[in-house]
Amino acid sequence: MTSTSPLLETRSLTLRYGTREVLEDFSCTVERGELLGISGPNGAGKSTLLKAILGIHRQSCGTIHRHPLAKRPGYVPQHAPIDKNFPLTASEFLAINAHTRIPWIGGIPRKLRHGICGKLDCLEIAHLAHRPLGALSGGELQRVRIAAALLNDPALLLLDEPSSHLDPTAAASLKKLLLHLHSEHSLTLIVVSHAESFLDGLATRRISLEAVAGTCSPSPSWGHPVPTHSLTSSAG
Amino acid sequence: MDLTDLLRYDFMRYALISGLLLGPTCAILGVFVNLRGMAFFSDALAHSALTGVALGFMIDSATGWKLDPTIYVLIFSCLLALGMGWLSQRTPLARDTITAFTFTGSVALGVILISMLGKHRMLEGLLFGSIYSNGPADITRQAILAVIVLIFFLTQLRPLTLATLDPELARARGIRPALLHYAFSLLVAAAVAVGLKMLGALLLSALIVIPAAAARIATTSFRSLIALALLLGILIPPIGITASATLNLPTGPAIVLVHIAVLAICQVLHLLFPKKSSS
Repeated sequence: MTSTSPLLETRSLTLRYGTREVLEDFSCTVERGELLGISGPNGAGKSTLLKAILGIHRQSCGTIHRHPLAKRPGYVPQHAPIDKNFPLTASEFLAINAHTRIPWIGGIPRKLRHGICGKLDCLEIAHLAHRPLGALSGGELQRVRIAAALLNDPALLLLDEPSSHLDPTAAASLKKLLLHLHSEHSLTLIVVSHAESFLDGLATRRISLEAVAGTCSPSPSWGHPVPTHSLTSSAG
Repeated sequence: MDLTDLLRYDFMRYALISGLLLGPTCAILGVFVNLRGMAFFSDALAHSALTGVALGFMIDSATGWKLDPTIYVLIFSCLLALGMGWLSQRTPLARDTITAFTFTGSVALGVILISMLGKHRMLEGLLFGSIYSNGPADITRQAILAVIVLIFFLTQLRPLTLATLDPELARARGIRPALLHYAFSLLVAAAVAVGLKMLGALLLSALIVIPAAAARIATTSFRSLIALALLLGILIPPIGITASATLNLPTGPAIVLVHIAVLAICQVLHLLFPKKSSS
């Protein structure tokens, strides 16, 4: 792979749950520095696509090529309710997300302190470091999850429905943060959202998936036809 | 009779060492038993140990072997833990439903087998424990278990915590939550088998569940949870054993009541001084 190779390339990707196909013959290329928005209704296979890229959805055929820089993408999964009484602080949450063999017995290991504090600073949430996860607002928790995903300095960040469960103010603040990470930190992002409005003014390119199994169609915002079952497109 | 007098007796020294080994071992396991909602699971494993002992007697009488009952309980508890984990992934039934019928079914089978073998008299020891019958072999087993649990937590605490909080995120980090669940379940089963002699089938889960539950009430960070659970695990069994010896009370129930008292104190303190949400 050369330094100019795409960060990610899928070819004829078909994803299934059991016998049910959720995505068929999907091809797509993600270049470095892109902020790709993927939208579509529930059941269109958006989240499953992210899981396939991560290698945790194995019921698939086709190929996914990841550039060595994207071997370990950062990932912020769809909002899952967190046990409000889970006794873990924001900085401890980052510590358990670190790719390291440094033993951990709670708190922040000395060798990880710099990295964790740096990421919390970068996302302007240093003041939340010692706050329990259960005491965070939706927007604060989402920033902590993004900080955890960025802890290992990935070249590619995948976000699954990052604005769900956020009020409009928190969603706008999150959008601003993602734009900042994209422009100032040269991060490549793939953002999945069923809310088209969240991707407006955020994504540099958009793909819209349809709920009907076996078909993928381009976003209406492209304004030109693309052959069904093959999406290797670019749009500004 | 004070503690110095008590320590002159071998049985008392073994009991205290037993408490000092099993207390923190069970307490650290209890942290994740609590966080993963497995309190009923550990209770069920403890009760089903009856069946393990009874099956051991049957195998011994059929084969002429004379193996330590703990070995049979260990094998039976581990098989039961794996079986419950396997079944929970292949049935629409909820985990606690599987635990409930495994629990009642194995206790029923155990009591019938013990009745058929005419070993009714051993039921009391199995149900309530007999910590003063601990010997060097028991202490060795408890020490081995403590070391295994220590190594497991030193190497797996980070992935186990992430898998407990968010299994999907854990999978994305290359962790295998199902494998960790099986490994953790086996450790709980081993703790039940090794600890049966101390508190018995009816009371043993107190040793696993309560120190971590009390610590969870009183703490907001993971580090303080682990530290307090371990501290309570180290302190409570010797206090219970000493109280039972000096006040002439049954030892197992005395240990459990000290656990309950500590839990009640933590809850009262929590009500009087609610935890701060930030520092």
